[in-house]
Amino acid sequence: MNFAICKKQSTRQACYVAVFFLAFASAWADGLVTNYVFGATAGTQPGQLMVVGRGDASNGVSILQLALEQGQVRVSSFRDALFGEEWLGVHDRVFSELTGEARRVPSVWWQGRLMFAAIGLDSNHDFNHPAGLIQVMNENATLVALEPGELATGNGRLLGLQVAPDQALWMPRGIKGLLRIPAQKQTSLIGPLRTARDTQWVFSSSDHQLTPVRLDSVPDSAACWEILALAVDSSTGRMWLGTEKGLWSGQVDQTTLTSVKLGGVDTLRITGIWQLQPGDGGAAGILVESSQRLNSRTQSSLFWVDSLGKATSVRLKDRDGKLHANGYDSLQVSISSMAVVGHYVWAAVQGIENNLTGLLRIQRDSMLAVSWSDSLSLENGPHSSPWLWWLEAGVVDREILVTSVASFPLKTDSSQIKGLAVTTYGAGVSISIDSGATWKVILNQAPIRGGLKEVRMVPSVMRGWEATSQVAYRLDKNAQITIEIFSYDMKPVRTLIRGAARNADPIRSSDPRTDVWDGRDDFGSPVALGLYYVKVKDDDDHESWGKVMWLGGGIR
Amino acid sequence: MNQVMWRSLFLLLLIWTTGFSSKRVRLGGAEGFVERMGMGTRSLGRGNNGVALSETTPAAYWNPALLAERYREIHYMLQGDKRSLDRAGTGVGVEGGVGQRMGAGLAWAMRTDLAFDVINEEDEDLGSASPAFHMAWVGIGWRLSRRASLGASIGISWANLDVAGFYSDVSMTDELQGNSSLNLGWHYEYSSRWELGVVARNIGFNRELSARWDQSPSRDNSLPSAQTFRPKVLEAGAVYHGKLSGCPAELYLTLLDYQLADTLLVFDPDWHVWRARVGFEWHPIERGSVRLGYDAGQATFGLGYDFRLRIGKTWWPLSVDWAMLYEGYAQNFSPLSVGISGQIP
Repeated sequence: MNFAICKKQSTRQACYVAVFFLAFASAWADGLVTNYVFGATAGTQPGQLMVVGRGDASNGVSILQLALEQGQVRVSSFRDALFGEEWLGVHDRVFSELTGEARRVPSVWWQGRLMFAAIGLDSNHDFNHPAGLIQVMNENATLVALEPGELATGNGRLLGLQVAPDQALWMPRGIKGLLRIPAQKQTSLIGPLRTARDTQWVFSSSDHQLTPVRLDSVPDSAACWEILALAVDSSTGRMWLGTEKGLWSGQVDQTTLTSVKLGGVDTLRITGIWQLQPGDGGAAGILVESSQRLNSRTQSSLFWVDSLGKATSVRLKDRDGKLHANGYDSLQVSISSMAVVGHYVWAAVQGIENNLTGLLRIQRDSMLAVSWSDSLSLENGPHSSPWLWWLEAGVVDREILVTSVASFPLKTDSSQIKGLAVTTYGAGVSISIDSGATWKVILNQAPIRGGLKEVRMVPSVMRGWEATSQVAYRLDKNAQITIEIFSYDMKPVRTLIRGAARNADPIRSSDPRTDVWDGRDDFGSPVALGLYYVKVKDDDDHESWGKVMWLGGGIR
Repeated sequence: MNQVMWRSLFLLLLIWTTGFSSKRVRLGGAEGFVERMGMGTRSLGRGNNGVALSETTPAAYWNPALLAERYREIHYMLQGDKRSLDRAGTGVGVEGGVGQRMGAGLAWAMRTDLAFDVINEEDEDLGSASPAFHMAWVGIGWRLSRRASLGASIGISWANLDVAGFYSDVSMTDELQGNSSLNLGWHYEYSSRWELGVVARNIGFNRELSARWDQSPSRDNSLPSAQTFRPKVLEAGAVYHGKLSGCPAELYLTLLDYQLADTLLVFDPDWHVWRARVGFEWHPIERGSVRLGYDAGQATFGLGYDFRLRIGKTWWPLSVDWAMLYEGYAQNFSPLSVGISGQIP
């Protein structure tokens, strides 16, 4: 822009503002990076949510700014921080690992930056190789090496990220023990953050102490135990260490740790530790997950450990009040993350060698996980379980997995409430402000012109017999909608809805449950392969058309 | 009595024009939309009526028995139309006499969408495609007598979906091949005023005489394959040559029966869709035509003019036609179909 032409000062100022807006606007996005989301973290201000995703086309962090308007959650802005093509935040085996420690995507706020474990390509061109850390600041994501390149090996995966009271960053790394990065002075990190002569801390199996060793040394797996989980209370400095042989407790600046017995056993393989602060009828403490492979099966358990170190098993209680021993183990799931909202602890779980997925809801006062269903039968299908709560995911055309859960503050007019965010593999993020009674779904969706000026069929090519396509449109005011489908020669094929009420919405007015075509005509018969035209009309005779190609059809 | 009979029949046929629908399957969801849409701007203008009029082109599509009427000239037809929602189509027909009593011809029709947006399951725009669906016919006709003729044509279909290149997760193919099927036609000049025509379409080469084939949009079976069929159609038409205000006029009526079950014959009306087409053509000026038509929910209007071009010492007849269409069910208006037809002397 030639500012010389802006002779008047006021005009020049307007030019500067326009350029600034254009530059800033390029960082703004229209939706999520992807609908395949693996983790969520509250942002630095109320209503801000950071979600990390990995999709076919793009991967990175979506920064959502959410607001409450008339009791409804609305997304006021999207921003993206995209990762590189050769480093991701999620490894390839996140769903196929058989024990809990590698089935989650750790993240933490560290000195104003959101940090993730970075995953790079291994020798097989799979994303399984630890590649350092990803730092996200505003809309920028950069890769930061942890150690010099010659030390980066297949061992030492980053299994967690915790910040201590001295602002040091602690990371459990399996057989490579614990890595500590002291607080950094520079605003933006430049790696490698450690040198070969720096130390890492391994957990000695003989004296149960954290022992410093040089970063370039190879820990003796016979003399050290793997460190698989870590929790640090950033206010008190108390540290909980999960190892292949039990749970250990101590202070973050001390090397001697004390064993904590869980269910009378101090040798369980501890794969997850989550801290709970006191409040809402619950005490301070930690929830601890153990999982280990025995006889071709993952044996799992979940414990509550209070501030005095007393451990009790988290049991499952059905609607009749009956407690189910070994209930958590019988589910064969692992927990990826937890969030506390109100009187409940929500735990996002995924099945190990099964298709179960959903949310465990644990009551804070009793530490019991309560079932949602009166029936304990699993006859409803592999995805259903009476213990796992579900959510409104906004899609009906695909199977989805619950990948994580997080809580974040939301401002109301007079106070602040906590929202619950659930991320999914395939259906973006669902938000609830009423403990799961209702949900606001946030999907990666292309923008649509309002006022029924545009109809998008998602997807527009329906591949396969079970394919469905959503009729996506947006209204500027509430209306009665009719959706009809016609063949290429404009013969009627199907009426999806007639005179159904739909609301104005800034993103989508479609109802994902009913505004969906499954390739059938009005009589339920699959239509022939070809092009079909979808007409959406309101009660003011405004109409718009979408197009869809159906590749199913015929007789199987 | 004859008047009562004719009026009753006319009333019955008027009722028929509203159409009877199957209670099992929608006609719109059945294979064969290229065939259902007809060929030729002239025929479109008069409501897609063509099986009974001896001059209808391309005869290989409309009624192969009409090929026997071509004598020694070579007739051609070229048509293009642009419809609403980026739909477009074209058609070509060539036919001519063979010997004293035979004729042969071929026809090709293509329907496409010029701007089909490819959107994936993640609501991402992948690009724009132009999928195209084709049908072609090759036929012969025999003159049985001065008034009657028979004909047969083979129809084939194929498609190019133009979307495979957008997908790398499965090995898709754009080229889909339909099957070949037989159309049998009969034409009869009842009198100087009446012509009749009957065509049976999509007779397959199997035990059920079904025009059935397998199709799979992927090379490696990663997408499910299916067996599909083009419905058998029985089409019977009549044209009456008369006068209106002293100028020649024709009245057309065609009745169609679509059997939407993949079997030899089924008499259950739930598997049938009956449709009717009516058309009117008037020649108020010499070589000029005005056409009106109605084809089961679609209203058409057309104009035409027959030119005679002198090239060297020879006069070449050339007709130029225009038609427009209102698709009543969808409430869509398509004002542009143009075509030329003529003879090569």
